Amino acid sequence: MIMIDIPNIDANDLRAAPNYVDGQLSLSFAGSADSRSQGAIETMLGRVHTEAMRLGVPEVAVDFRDCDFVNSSCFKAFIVWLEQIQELDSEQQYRLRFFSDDTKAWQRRSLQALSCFAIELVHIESKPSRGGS
Amino acid sequence: MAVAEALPLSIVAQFRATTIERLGRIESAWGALTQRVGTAEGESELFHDVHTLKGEARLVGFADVVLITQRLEDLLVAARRRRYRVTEDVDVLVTMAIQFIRMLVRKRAGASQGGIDINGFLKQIDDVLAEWPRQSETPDASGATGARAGEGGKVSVAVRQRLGGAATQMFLELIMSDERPRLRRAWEILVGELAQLDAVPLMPLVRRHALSAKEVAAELGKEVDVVIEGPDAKVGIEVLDTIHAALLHTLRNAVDHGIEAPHVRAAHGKPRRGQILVNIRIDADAIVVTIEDDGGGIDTEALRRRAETLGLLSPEDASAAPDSTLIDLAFAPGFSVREAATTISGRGIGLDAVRAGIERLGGTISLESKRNVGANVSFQLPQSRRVIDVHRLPSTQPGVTFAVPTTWMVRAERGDDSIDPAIALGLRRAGASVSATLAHIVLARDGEEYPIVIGGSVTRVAAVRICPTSPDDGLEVVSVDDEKMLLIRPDAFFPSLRRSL
Repeated sequence: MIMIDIPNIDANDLRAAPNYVDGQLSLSFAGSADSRSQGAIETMLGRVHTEAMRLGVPEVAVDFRDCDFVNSSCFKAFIVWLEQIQELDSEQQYRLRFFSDDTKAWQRRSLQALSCFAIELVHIESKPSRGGS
Repeated sequence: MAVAEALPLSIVAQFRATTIERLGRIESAWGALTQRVGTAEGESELFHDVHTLKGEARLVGFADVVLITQRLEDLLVAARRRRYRVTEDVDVLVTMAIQFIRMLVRKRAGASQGGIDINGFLKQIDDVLAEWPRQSETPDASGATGARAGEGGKVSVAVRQRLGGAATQMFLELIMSDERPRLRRAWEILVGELAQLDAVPLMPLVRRHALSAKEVAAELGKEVDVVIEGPDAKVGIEVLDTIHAALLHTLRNAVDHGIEAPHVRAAHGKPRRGQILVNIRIDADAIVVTIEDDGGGIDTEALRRRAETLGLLSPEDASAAPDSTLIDLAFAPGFSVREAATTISGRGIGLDAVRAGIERLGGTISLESKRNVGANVSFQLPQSRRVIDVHRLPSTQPGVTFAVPTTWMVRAERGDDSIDPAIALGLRRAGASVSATLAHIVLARDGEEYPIVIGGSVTRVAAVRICPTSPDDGLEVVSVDDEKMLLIRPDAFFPSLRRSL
């Protein structure tokens, strides 16, 4: 079994957990990400980036469906992450697949804007909420 | 074909460094204002920084940065009007716009812009702005709000919106009166006058660019006459900004890449002085600008080689590609025939952004060339400047169509206490003949839901705002081709309806 070195987040109304199953690396967010969670998210995404490169995964899935909100500071961490991927050689680059709940307007708007930074690297998939929030 | 400013690389580097620093200040000031700890000085510096950034980007030819900065400025103006009490997702969008500009500015010279969706990002901002007042009011360099200098905007936004509201009411009367000709004429006059309030003269801008092109030619040791033809047309401010970016690139490109040096022209039997013709034409509701030069035309063989080098075409496809396919590549993100970025021309950024700006306004751009004869760039833009994506909702009253901004979701669902907007507006009496196809839908956004009855299936279209009203107004008239629709802002329309019941 391959272990991944990515910390969970469970503080300040935000829960985020990484998962690596069958060669697929994913992150699930639940709750709200405000400025208090910025540092934890930055650290987590930095580790995800390192692990994604180490594992050579073609894609990382990020599930926002149970997330109530991600504020601008925390969203910036995702932009930084995306820029890190863009800076890799094309053969090292991996895609980001976001699962969003389209009934949450902020998810639709923010993720679509994020995808404009690198449309080839970001894929948004709308799925019904898992009923978390 | 590439961007064609002949600026020293040091100036571009300085622009990059200054802009990165400026963006840091903009981000800090925005954060302070939205967290209610900003000062008047900080606010003033914020607008000054954004305004200066836009101007400097224009000067160095970063058209894509100009476009995004313009929208950022629009967002900031709208936020200021709300005293920076903005929703979190607007805050995210402003932050993203700052990051987007930073990314564009940081891009290495010659680096590909592939994958960056400028048009899509502009649309995201436009969707937000569509919910807010959309007008020409822009901060000047001092940060003070007011009409743009020289753009004739003497009528306040509030007055324009009230006139838009009056036009909308008149449109309702027009429908209810069964299209009385005199009422229709009055309505058309009012809408025409409203369009003129936002219109600014185009010729001063064209003349400035013509002068600038001649200066660039002189610096390059070339001789050129720039001839301007056409009426002294007026256009909307957003159209003017787009024409500005397009002229900047095409004129300088014509001088740098098209017009040959005098001795080369003489060797080809051409007059030593080159000529660039800028023709402006008004076609129905569109403005058409054509820039034609008598230079060397586009070197399609160079395009062919570059396309192959960049992997855009396989060697087989490249050798078989017709000139028209190769010329189309000039609009591809990041495409430039120059391998070394000794000037900003080699940056490969610009024409794709110009096309994105034109297409975003519903316009088109085309490029034709004949080797040693010259090149011709033509772009067409609708004169109306406000484009908004809407769900088109057929009404239960035949001949009447509603629309709702696409920032609202439409669910096919029968809700409780559905409202028929046609009845609510008195456009149809209950029990009168109705559209054959009734549909129940729910308009939803951010926890708000409004069930309504409509008379057909929903489609998504881009509409032009012909008489913008205040975002607090529930109604406005928009147009798609020749069809006029009543745009409903559910969050303003339905609560006011309930209050009036």
